[in-house]
Amino acid sequence: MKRNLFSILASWWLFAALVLSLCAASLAFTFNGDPSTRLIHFLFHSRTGAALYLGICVNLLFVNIRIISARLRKKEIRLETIKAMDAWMEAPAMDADVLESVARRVKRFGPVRRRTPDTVQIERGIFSFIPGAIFRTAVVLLLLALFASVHLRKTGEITLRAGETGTLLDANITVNAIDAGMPEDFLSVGDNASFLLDHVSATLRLSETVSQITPGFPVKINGRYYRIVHLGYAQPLTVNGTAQPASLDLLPPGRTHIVALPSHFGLMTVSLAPERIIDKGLLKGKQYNLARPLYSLVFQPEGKQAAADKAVIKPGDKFIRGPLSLSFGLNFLFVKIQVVEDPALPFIYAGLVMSLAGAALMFSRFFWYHTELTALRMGNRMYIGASEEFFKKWGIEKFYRMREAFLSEEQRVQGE
Amino acid sequence: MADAFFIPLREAFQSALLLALALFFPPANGNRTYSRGLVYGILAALLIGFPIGFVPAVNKSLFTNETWTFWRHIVESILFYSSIVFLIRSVKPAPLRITTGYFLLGFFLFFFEARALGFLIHDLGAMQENTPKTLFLALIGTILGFSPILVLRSYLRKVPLEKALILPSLLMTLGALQFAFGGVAELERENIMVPLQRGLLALLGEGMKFLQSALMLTEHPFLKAPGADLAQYLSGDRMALAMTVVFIMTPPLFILIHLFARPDPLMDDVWIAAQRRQKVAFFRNELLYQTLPVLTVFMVLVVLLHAVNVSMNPLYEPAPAPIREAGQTLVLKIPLSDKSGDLSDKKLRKYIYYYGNKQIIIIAILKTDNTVGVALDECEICRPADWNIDAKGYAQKGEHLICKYCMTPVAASTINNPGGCNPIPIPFKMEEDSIVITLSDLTRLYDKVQSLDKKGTHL
Repeated sequence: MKRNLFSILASWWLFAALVLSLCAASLAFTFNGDPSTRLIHFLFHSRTGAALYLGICVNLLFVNIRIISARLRKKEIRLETIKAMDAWMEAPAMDADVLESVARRVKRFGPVRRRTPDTVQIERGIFSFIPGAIFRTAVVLLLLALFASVHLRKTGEITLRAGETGTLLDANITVNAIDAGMPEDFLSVGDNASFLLDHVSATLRLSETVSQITPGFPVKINGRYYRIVHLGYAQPLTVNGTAQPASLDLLPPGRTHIVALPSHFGLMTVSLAPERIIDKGLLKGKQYNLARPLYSLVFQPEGKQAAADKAVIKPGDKFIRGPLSLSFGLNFLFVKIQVVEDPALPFIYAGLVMSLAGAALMFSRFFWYHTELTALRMGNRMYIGASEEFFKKWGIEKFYRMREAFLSEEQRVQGE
Repeated sequence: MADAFFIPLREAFQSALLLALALFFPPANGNRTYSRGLVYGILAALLIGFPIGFVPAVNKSLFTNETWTFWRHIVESILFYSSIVFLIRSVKPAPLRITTGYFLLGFFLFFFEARALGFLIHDLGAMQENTPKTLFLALIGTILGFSPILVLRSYLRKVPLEKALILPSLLMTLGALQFAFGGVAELERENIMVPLQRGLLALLGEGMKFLQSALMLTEHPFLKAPGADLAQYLSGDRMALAMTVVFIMTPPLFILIHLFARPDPLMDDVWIAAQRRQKVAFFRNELLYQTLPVLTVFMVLVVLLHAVNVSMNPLYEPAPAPIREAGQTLVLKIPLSDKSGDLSDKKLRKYIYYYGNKQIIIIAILKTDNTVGVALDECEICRPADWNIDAKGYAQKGEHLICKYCMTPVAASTINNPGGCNPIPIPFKMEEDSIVITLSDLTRLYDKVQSLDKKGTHL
């Protein structure tokens, strides 16, 4: 009963059935809107989905156990096991040292693993299960870590300017400084522009700990993970004497941000204004100073009949139009910081790295695989069997060639 | 009217080809019970499938055409991959199970085609206003399509299919030919590869986003995130195409490996060298015959993959969805939001209306100013030849429509404006959540456009 249960749990057919069930579920969700969200909810939050998901993990673990135990277990050498191998032969065994001569002749099959007066077992690549075992274990680790992460993760985001302090997930976060390496002469050509910042960092202070975070890999500080997920301009703004700081989301150049002005002043649309426009044939290039930007303002007062008003301004300037008085302070940057509390995150990384390592190691299986030759002497007959894990056809043909040579030598010896 | 005869003739002939492969391969060949099971399956498919598609009340209460196509693809994939199951596991089921298996094989070889034919024949009959005649022609065409099996059966029985086919390669061949021939081309222009590749692309995209989110490495428009390029590559078109290739090439590869992994036979009991060589040569000849179906399937699949490759180009062109008159009225209503999505995604939509024996293709798109553009899928200038189907009409690239014939980009914002390379605008009005087109306007415009003396190379 236990053995049956084990063989079912460790079966590749069960794996195929589980994977097909998951595929069927994912296909079923494609009939209506937002299939991916519903599939993720099914996998991680519904009982059936979780059972399928965890079933795959259990199945892979048992497959690992089955493969490793089958390989390392000492097999009893009997005539039935030899006949069950890929190829086998029967030969006379007149000589008492016949098994010794077999072992010498077939040593290219591998080292002698086990030897008794009546049996000899030669094996090579006993540990060739290692790449597969690593890969399967890594996949299980990754799947379980993802499952745990979905249920245990707490995430928060906070937008802070340089010098500002905020609280998130019961932690006080202070941004000491933001360094973005903004270019002073960014050229945007035509409709498309590749704008990428790769040296952005922010110095955070949490309790007594000062750390630097980037948009790259998350940084662990006091048990939580921090990462920059957005960047923009923090613009001090005074409207008719009232301070109204604005976090302007203007990157990449061309993007607009709408600022609601108080009272009946309506809306102000802000975008980055180029310092220079270069016309070359059909192409138009715009050059922006992103370190000290210029703003293009479009005012849309309330009322359908009111016409829009435009202006170009730089930080530090004042803008007065009728009753509206805008004062722009010197700008600096803001960052949006993602904070995650997730005990499973290191295991997700570990599982991913191990999976990649295991997948890379699997290439070694082209030449690192299990071969086995077993000889059994029963009275004056000898039975020899051989098996190879892969390339069975060539293994069988190699055995037949060895068999012919062996039989012809035995006949020669007997003749002598 | 000729379509009502030729389309069923063609579909029945294609199914007859598949039926012949199954019927004249052991054990069905020479076993009346099994061959009857297969034939009864085909008959059941015709008797059940055709009415489902033909009777509007039944058709509407069940699935849409897209859903039927989806299930057809699933059944074809199961048939295709069952070859691997039979390769790994040699089964010897009871005769009753074998007969049931043959019945199901025959049923699914023709059921979806019969349903699609029923749907198409009903539409053709309605357009010709002579449903009994189109039905009669369809039945004649179907019977004639299957007739080669009846006429040639005594000859086909003698063809030694078992020399070239083993059961797994038969199932693989049937599955691959179903991928190529399955469905009715007038209703379903895409084979399984295209939706499979699109589905894989969507799955890879969402899966990669989920993984990046789990790793806290979500992408950003202008902040460099580690592994973003790799993630984009792994969730891109190329990876989806690679997985599609793996999906369709796995059974043929498995069978080839199985065939070539068989060692030469043992010659212990044969002492004469010439006889040994003869036996080995015979064995290897048989091996060669058995690889022929696999290589044929490879070629069929490569041709199908070409359709996927073409669909990977940056031009987006959706398959036209059929539309009919709304109820008893003489207007066409195109919903702004339907199962294929919402017009607000600013993606090009195409619709096909059957006008007699002609097809009017209508394009609709939501422009950047949030107004709707509706036009014919052709312009006043280009006239590709009738055989050059791929060059007809427009595809979308970003905010432009591209004339597939002359590759001129047309800004989507100019749709509804006539002249030049713009698609010919159709008069329409908006009603709540639908675009309403009067049939008389459409057909008058279409007839006028067809009579235009268009310029262009006419290739």
